[in-house]
Amino acid sequence: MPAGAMTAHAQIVLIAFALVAIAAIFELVRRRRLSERYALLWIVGWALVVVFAAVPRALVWVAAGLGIEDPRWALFVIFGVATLALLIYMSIALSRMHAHTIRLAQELALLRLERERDATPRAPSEPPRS
Amino acid sequence: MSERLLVIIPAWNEEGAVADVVHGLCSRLPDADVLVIDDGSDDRTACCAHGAGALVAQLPFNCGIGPALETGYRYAHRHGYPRLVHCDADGQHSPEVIEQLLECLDGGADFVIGTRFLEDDDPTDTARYRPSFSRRIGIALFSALVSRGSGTSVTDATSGARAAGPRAIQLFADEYGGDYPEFESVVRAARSGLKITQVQIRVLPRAAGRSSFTPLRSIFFVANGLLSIAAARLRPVRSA
Repeated sequence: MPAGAMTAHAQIVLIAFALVAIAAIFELVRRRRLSERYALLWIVGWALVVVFAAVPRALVWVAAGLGIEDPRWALFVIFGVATLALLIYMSIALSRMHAHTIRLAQELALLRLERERDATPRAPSEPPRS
Repeated sequence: MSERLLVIIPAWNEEGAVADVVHGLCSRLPDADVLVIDDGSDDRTACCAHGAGALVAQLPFNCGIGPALETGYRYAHRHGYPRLVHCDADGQHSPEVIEQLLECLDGGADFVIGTRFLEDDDPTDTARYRPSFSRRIGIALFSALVSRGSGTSVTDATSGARAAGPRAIQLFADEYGGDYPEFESVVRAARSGLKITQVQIRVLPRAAGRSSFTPLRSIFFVANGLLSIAAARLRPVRSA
């Protein structure tokens, strides 16, 4: 079997698996368990699996483009880089969420303080309401 | 008649000391408003502070020193305080220290840092602040880096006793800094064109509680501090 070739059986299994995965992601979006922005990422990923399963020669071309002789190594490299990129993206999303959470906590603390302060009049040195 | 003043005290599990700190401030500075920011304490910190006569802002969970101070700055900004001082809740900073900082602030500075290292090095003076060797190295390293990054001489970059005028309040109400904000804040203030001055202060041994540092945390602190200074130096600044 030449490099980059697959049996028809393997192709069908892989494509079927990818399509099921895409359907599952769509279902998660439909139930509002996954937001569109992240779902898109996964759908694109699985769509690429479909493409490479349908046209195994494509992997050989990609490998040649990357200057890698063995397409299996190209697959390994692409998978590794994509995984790292995804993790960085998740870290960014997590940082943003953390910042939002902190901001909400601060606003909550200030709101509660202002409500309590206004409910119980204090010394005349109290600042005027803005 | 001096201008209105807000004293902010970030506190995390400081029920043993916070009431005395608030009492001390209220009796020495009767015109000041004292705001304790309870950073998600598990103990009765908020209750003790409230009982002692302070305003209390309670963060619903532990957010860290930067976000806690930011909350205080934001309160000052929204309610139009022209002067703000922050000090530690553990009793290290006496009301005299606050007055020293204020004097410096009223002298025309935008941001005042209280330094614990006195110039007259008298080894018989038992009241002097004497950190452990490793901590002294750390403080010296960061003070040097912050001095370089800010273009002003800072000998105690980790000091928690600071005072801010209107320009600094506006700057820090937006953002004071992350988990370890002491360095970043100074670099940002300097790069935003604020006038920074230092004043020498005497600190007391902490009245209660323990330092939040452990060996592992110290390593994390150093790495985090280096990163935050580097990032603060390279970030674009909005003119204040």
